[in-house]
Amino acid sequence: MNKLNLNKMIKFLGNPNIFVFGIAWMIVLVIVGTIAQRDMGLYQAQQIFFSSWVGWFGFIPYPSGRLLMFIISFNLLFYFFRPNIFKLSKLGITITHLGALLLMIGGGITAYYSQEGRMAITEGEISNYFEDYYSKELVVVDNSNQDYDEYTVFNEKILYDNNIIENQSTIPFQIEVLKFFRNCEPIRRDYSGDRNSHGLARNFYLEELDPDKEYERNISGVIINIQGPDQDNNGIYIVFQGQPIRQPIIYNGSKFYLELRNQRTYLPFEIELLDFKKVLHPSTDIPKSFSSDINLIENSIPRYVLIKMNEPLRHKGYTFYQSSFFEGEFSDISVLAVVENYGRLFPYISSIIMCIGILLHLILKIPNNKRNQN
Amino acid sequence: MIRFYLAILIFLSTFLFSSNGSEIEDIPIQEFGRIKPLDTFARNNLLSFYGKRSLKHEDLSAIQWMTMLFTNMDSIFNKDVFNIDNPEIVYTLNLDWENNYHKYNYSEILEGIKLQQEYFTNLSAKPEESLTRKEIDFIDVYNDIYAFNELSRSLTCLLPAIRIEDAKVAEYLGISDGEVVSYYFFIRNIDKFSILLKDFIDKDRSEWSESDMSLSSLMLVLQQIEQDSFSKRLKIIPPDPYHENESWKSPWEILIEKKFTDKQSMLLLSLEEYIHALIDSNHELMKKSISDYKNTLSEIYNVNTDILDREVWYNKVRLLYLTIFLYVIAFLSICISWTFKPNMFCNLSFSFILAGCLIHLYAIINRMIIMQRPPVTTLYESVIFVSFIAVLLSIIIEYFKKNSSGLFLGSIIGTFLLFVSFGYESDGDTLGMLVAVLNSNFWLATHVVTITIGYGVTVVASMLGHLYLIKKIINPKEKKQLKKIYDSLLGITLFALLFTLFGTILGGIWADQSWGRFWGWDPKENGALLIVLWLIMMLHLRITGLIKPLGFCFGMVFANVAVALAWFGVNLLNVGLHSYGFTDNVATNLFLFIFIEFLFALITYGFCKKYR
Repeated sequence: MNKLNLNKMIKFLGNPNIFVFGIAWMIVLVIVGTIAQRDMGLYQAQQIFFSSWVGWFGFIPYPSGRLLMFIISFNLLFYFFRPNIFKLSKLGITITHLGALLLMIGGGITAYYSQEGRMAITEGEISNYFEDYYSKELVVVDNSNQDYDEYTVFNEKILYDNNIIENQSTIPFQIEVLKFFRNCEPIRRDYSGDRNSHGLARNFYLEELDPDKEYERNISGVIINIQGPDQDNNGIYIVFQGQPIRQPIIYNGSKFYLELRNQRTYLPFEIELLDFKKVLHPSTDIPKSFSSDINLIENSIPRYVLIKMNEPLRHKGYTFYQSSFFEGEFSDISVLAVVENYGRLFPYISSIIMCIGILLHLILKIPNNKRNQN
Repeated sequence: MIRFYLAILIFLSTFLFSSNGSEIEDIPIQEFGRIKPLDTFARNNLLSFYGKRSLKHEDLSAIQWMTMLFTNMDSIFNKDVFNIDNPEIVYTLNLDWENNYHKYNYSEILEGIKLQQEYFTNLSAKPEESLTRKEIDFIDVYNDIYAFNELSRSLTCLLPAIRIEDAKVAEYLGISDGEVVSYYFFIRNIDKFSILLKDFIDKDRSEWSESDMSLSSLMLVLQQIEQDSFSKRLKIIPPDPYHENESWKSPWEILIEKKFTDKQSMLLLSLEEYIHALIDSNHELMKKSISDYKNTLSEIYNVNTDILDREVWYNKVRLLYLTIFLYVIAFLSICISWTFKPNMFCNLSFSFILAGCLIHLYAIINRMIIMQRPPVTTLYESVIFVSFIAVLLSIIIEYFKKNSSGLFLGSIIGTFLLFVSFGYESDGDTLGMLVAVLNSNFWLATHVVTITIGYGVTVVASMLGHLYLIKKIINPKEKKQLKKIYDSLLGITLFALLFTLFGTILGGIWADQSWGRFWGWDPKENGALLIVLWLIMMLHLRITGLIKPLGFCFGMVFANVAVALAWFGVNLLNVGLHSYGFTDNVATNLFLFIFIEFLFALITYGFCKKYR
């Protein structure tokens, strides 16, 4: 009885109809998600239609890309519990499905365990971190020690409205996030703010803007309320990205700075940009190639490496790609895209497997067809 | 049959020797980053003004027209080479709309622009985003006139335009009295000339002799000619010493910068000789000077004459026109075969489509050799390649199934797609350079070729779906025939899935190699994914038994829509890494195509359901 139930269950979960309707829904999502990019930009559309679990159409929830792919993968998994799938006539199909499952698993791993960002280096300078394209972080720098600065960093995840961040051993005050803006604009006040506002907040306030189509153009900002023993300096501060001067706070006689920036990830090695080269097709503005001459510095020992378009540097699980550049009067800035992805190899393997599968199936099918005809 | 093929061959060969050339057609020039023969340069320029690549009514080839332009013959400025098909622009320029198929000449348009000087000045000051479609058309006319003028000034420095009247000056310069020389002559003889000038400058105007007067007017003429030095389009002088990433220069650029090597100077000299011989119609000297020119050129760099000649030849024979012609005949033959001598006309059709396909392939190979890169790099080339793949596949189907369905489909798809490609051809040079990220022969050869093969195979599969529906209506009793089509369709759908799937994954792998991400939901990626998903869905719908063969064919009709969206549709969105820009025209045609496909599918399916 129990076994029968199990079989029923497997049959139900592996029902190919689920797969078919899943794919049909996926087609709808792909079409809508692509057209939506025109208005909301690539990143936002991707977040809404492909990278989330559930989407909302007014009040009605619908399965979004991630849930859908999970369902499809799960359904696909139960294909392998079916009988007779290793018969010669079905072998091609089975291999193809195995490849597809691997591809989906790889997609899942990439979705959760990959990290990407950019590393902008000026010629002649050294960098050991990359910045996330999208996520921000709030940094409190304790500047009171002469020999070193102490950084306390808060991820965007905890910078949600009305969250109180307290009991940090490195800073003597608690931070209440009053408002976090994905995109905003600092606007000068007509009148100075009240006594509760400090620093920039005295003369400026932040106005929320709709997120830009190109997500990276957004200027994020945060309004925080600082509370602690130093009554004079408690109150409201504002911080936004690209602020010309870091927001200082004198608290209990110690000097702190506030800064909002793209989330940084530090690398176990350093990169020095020696030279950035751009070659154009002659007498045109069409770029022919970009490349960066760099020194990869590990344990203070430099090694020369060339990073070119289509020829990245791979080192310690990180991959560095030539992504873009800024030309300056005296020195150029090269922008490298940095990616750490554990799911990297899945597409390579799965595509080979799938191709073998389909080809095998076609080869097995052809004599079959011939026989049918005769 | 052999006699028949011979007849085709003779017929085709008539195409290959039918044009009038010029000695300078294969001289290399650098334009848009590519070294190409002057013939292509001339064709592209004429195309941008006139809309066609030769002046048929004047019986002038592009290169002949350009040679006339270089010699500044008066008649060239009165040739109707500007195509303006917007009546409003024509009226504004004070021209006659009814005249000569809306073709106008340089002089009259210039006159018109001068009358509306204020409007045009105002227009050019406007920011680009605020321009309306009409204003852009106006600016285009203005730019064309400017470009034409610039082009016509390209070799004025070499034209014999300065008559030396004074005996003393002539003697100093080592020429005979009354001889006509060029601006470049003075640059060449700058040492002698400067001695003359030295005395002249020191003198007061009241002390001027007759020679000095003559010298003064000479100076004036030189200054006047020098105003043409803005002309920079004709970049035919290679850098010396040669480097492939360095820009070539126009004769004027070389002369104005006054830094040229002996070899570059010899090039100019040969050109000057050629121009003089051309004006005197001295054909011997024309040939000699151009051969000198080429010799000097080959001393500067390793000229690849094979590729230049090949491109000139490719321009002339227009293989793809020949191809479309053969496809149309193949289609007509197959139509005739339904009512009259089926065997003979089927064979005829097969031969025509095969010949067409071979020439099609040869055209693609030629382009590959000229550009030294894989077959598909631009939208235009993808259309050519997809149509080739579709025709090839149709021929293979025909070879195995022998039911004339392959011939029918192949000739239709081939004709239709080549016709679409001609729309892109009129945009200008179809052999352009690629931006850095695309500039990788490996990925162009793998991903792009695979995915375009996928497009081609999907189109054929979809057309088989169409055919099934039509046959089902016309001849529902022929179960065997229908089964045959359905079987081919099923197999080809699998092939289509193989190529689109593998092509899409390869694209992801390229993206992983170049940008570090396998998949980014970019519109072009989504487009390819759409085809893959559609094919997967159709196959699984059939396997699970949710639909029957009729439903499968109905669904496969829409595979064409998916291909059209992936191929052309995503460019309309203008986001992401793959967009190539677009025109309103594409959008209209695309929607029309989708509408027709929907209509076709619904009507035929409804019909089959009702009357089966």
